[in-house]
Amino acid sequence: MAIHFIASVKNNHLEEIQSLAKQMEDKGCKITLVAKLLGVISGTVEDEQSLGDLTMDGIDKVEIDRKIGPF
Amino acid sequence: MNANLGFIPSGDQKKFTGRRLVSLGNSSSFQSLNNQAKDVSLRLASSKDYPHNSNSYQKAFQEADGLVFERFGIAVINKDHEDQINRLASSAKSRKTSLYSEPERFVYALHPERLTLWQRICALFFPKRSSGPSPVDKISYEDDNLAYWGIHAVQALSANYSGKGVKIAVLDTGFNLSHQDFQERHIISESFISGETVDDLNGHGTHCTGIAASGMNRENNARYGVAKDADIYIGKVLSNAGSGSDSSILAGLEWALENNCKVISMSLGASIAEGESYSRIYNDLAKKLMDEGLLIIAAAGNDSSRSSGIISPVSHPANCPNIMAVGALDKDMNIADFSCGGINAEGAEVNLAAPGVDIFSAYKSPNNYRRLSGTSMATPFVAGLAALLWEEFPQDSPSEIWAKLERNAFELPLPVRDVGKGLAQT
Repeated sequence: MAIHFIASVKNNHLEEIQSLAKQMEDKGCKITLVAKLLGVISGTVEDEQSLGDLTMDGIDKVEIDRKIGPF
Repeated sequence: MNANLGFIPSGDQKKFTGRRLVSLGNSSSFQSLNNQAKDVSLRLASSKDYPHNSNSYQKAFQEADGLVFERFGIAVINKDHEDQINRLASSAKSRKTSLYSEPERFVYALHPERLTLWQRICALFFPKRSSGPSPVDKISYEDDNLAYWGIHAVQALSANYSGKGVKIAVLDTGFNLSHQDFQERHIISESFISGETVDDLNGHGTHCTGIAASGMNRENNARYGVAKDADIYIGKVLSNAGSGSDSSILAGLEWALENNCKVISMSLGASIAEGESYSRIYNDLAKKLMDEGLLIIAAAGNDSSRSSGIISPVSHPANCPNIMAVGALDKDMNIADFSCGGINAEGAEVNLAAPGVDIFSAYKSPNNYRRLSGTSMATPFVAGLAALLWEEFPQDSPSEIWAKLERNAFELPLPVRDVGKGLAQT
């Protein structure tokens, strides 16, 4: 089952954010957002196990992309 | 400002002074009103011509039939002039403007000490901050001709600022762009929901935007929004069905940053389990945004059922320490049954509380107005107040605005867990 994720980029790697997103794509991720100012990438991996592949140099934290609703 | 002003007196206390309060609507310059008043043999004085103290206002009421407070768009007319007021109202109607009047009430403080008109006016001009716990037994706010109860509760009518020039981003279900109350407003919008325009077919986003940044309800001239001159940025991050994801919110946050917004109002989120920690990514982002000059204000969440003894923890992302979390109050200053509490560790606390039950605001077409309840409604009250502060203190950092919001809050006799520093106020 596909897992949606968000990943933050380390401050000293912000200029490489497009390159990091490309590396994720090369690992089979589908990228849905590259927020350059915030330093965040979001996308989809095939399964939970693949989330581990996102832990690469330049990536700070990876979390599950939550469903959000109005309060 | 003293939150005790505005009470509706009860019991045997005398309710009305005999004078009438007249809301002047949009055509509120003293000169134009005075010209109309002369036509109906009504002598008006301007508050600008009298020093701001009760003795001078008393003198004004002896020298004239009424006193105009141009800044507030209000006139106070001595008793026995109902006929002239009615003629003024008819004249206003013929010019397709509106003029409402109501009996002036006595306003009572905590111990039923009666406030005179003079004390009330002086309080408007010389607001006092509360300090320390209040001995208030019961506080209550009501809708009236001037404004809906939430606006009275946060004291927006007495604010000297209107959010002019301050950019508020409301990240929600979009906005009813054809709403009659916003046709002269500066609105920038963007949809981050695939296949949906910004137009709000849900209503939630329009409601929240109305609270943060509307002016008056054009149908009755009653005020329901806080920062009535702020620049409005609408980021549609929730679909018309009311669903979204972290990534759509992140896209909205990036857009707000790109557009140099100062305040981000997020009446949205996801439930958090007891003991669950906050998102490190969101917290880091919120810190980054604060460093860039933006303050995020988010709803604490509606998962509690206090009447059943259930208090649920503050939701995501309001549970991040770098995001201001807002709980909801009803008009009697009770915590709302649904409002989440600061029961989780690591900063997942409620920082402030604001009106969030039975709140009137703009809505989707064709209704255009509706009353809703939720911490969603409380959040934009605080966002609007932040905009007022930023207009007054344009050089302030988000941390300084945060601190001022907390310092200005009216302390309530409720647990800090539920209301933080208390009722948010101007």
